[in-house]
Amino acid sequence: MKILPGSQTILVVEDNEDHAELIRFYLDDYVENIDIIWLRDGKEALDHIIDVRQRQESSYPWLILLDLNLPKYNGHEILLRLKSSPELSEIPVVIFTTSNASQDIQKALRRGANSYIQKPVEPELFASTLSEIVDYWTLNEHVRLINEHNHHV
Amino acid sequence: MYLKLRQKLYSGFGLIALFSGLLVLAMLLTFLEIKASFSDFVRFSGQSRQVMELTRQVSELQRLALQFTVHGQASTAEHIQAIHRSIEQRFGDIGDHARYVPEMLRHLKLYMDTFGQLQTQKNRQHQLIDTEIWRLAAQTQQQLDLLVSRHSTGLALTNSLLRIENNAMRYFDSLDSHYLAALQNALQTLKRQLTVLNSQDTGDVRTALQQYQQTLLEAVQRTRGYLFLVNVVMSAEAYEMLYQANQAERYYHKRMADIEQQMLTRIRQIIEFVAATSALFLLLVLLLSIKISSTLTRPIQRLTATFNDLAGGSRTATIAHHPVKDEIGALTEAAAVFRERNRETEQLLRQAKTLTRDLERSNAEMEQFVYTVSHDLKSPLVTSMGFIGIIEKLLAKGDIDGARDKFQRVVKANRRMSQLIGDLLELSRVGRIETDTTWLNLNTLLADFAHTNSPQLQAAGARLHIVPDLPTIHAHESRILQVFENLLSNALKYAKNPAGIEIRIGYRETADAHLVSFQDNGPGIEPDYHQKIFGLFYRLDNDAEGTGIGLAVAAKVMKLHQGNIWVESIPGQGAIFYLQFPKTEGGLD
Repeated sequence: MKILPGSQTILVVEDNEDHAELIRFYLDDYVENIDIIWLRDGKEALDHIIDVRQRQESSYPWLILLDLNLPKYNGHEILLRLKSSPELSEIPVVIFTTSNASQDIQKALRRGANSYIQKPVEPELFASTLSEIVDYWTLNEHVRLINEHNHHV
Repeated sequence: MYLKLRQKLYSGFGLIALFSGLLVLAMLLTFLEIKASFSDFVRFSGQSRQVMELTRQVSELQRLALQFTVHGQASTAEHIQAIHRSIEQRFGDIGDHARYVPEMLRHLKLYMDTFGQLQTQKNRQHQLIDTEIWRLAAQTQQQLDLLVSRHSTGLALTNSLLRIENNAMRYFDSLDSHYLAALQNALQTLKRQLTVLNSQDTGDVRTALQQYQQTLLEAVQRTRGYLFLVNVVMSAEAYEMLYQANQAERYYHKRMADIEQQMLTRIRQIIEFVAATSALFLLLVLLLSIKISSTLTRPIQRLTATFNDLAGGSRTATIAHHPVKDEIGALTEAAAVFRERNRETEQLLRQAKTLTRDLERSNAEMEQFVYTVSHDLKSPLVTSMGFIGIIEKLLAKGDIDGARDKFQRVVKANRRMSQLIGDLLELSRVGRIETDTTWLNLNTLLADFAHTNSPQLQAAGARLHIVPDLPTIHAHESRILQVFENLLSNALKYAKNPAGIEIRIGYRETADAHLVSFQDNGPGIEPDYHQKIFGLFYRLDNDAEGTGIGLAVAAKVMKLHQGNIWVESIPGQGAIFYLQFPKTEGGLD
């Protein structure tokens, strides 16, 4: 699993330190050479995203793993911010939360979340979900390259 | 038991019946009077008719009497007697109360007495004429014949005698006085002839003639006598009777006219009376109708409208005042009860709505609570399971130190879960309804509070200032203490200040509440989080310890005291938590 288009950064928005460490473990097992940026609450996450948008497109994170229950601003608020921005809306967002409430799942998917993983999770399921995200990203990149090629021709 | 309306109706109809009865009685009495008058009229009419008949009979009587003087027939006399009896009978029928009857009877008696005399005269005359006169005439003729046989002038004498006879017969036949004069003349002639004869032998003739003449004159006298009786005396009596009858008839006619007049007057009076009383009666019925309408129909109409309103659920329907305690009064009371029921019902509905709203809110809160609790309890579980998986892998690789290190994370996660469950139990205890509220003097309470917490304050290098003259509130002591402890705990955890933590408890009184303030000199709280921090498990800082339940507990306690809690803060200038207690003895609801 070495195909990492764009920047090789994953944003982990997670208030629980233990959970953040668990995520790091999982990712280390399946992905190599990746920067994990750990954001501990909603405000930090929003500040970081605003900061990213002001910089170049190339530094956009490859994936955002988003917890819903966060201090200051919750995951839904962050998701709304991300998906309402034209520049940021293409970044895949995977909700990673303990909540299995249907209203949370539906709300998140309605607001444009790309996937929803419920904690606790088997490492294998976590990996297969990430693979799907990678496939998606690859396909996106492929389409972009074809478009660019056509443009040049 | 309400009888007023029935009594009203009965008395109304009773009045009408009484009035009708009186009217009928008055008419009956009047008709009886008219009937009496009419029978008088009939009586007088009958008497009048009798008198008329009487008049006719008296005329008949006189006619027959005249007839009798001419013919002298016995049958005529009998007829007269029969009529006389009939008249007497009639007088009996008329009755002696009529004042004309005795007078007439007296005249009738005189009349009949006179008729008796007439009969005597007539019979004597008849006898004279039938027998005496013929005998004497024959005697005179015989003497004259003797004389004539001796004298040559005999024929003239016989003629004169025949003339006497002839005129006498004619007179008695016709009663014409002309023949009487002729008779006298013939008598004188015969006497002169006898004188002329101048003879000694005329003595017998003269004697016979003298007798003849005397009888003739008696007969004439008799005739004149009865003629006087019938033509003067009886005629006068008859006239008198007719006059009296006429008077009687006039009297009866006058009486009848009087009665007629009286009856007409009475009839006119009763017509006027009936018309007047009928008008009065109609007026009475009309007045009764109006009265019934005003005391019955109109209130019932008004009440019907009221009941329609009430049936529509109105609780402000106007109920017309009805002062009389009757059936309508009862209905009015019923309407008032109805309206009261409507009010109660609406109040119950309002209460039910409030309760439903409370229940819905409570349900929503409960849902939110369960959601939050399940989420937050899961968190340490996720940690435990995740690290146990990692520990397994590390052990499989033989990394025992690494495994031991991760094992500590599992222990910590479990401890945290235990703490969360403990706090949740605490929160659930706050939610329970407790009634042991008392009047708390906050001065005493907070002095104890400061004393109890002085070790923690010292350890944190914090100072606590409490203003004097704090109020006395009606509240649950341990819960209020818990609010202050949670606020203090938060301040010590989050309100870090390099110059040392300063906490001030202040007080301000408003119109209807006591306002206690809890101020720190920490970094303050951004406005975005002023509401969120009172939510369950909500935390602003991941570094500090805590479960995010403290302020949720404080909010719940304040709500139970019908009070309120909020925060005012400008970042960098500390935070002020306000506790609002109601002044009333509301306490816990």
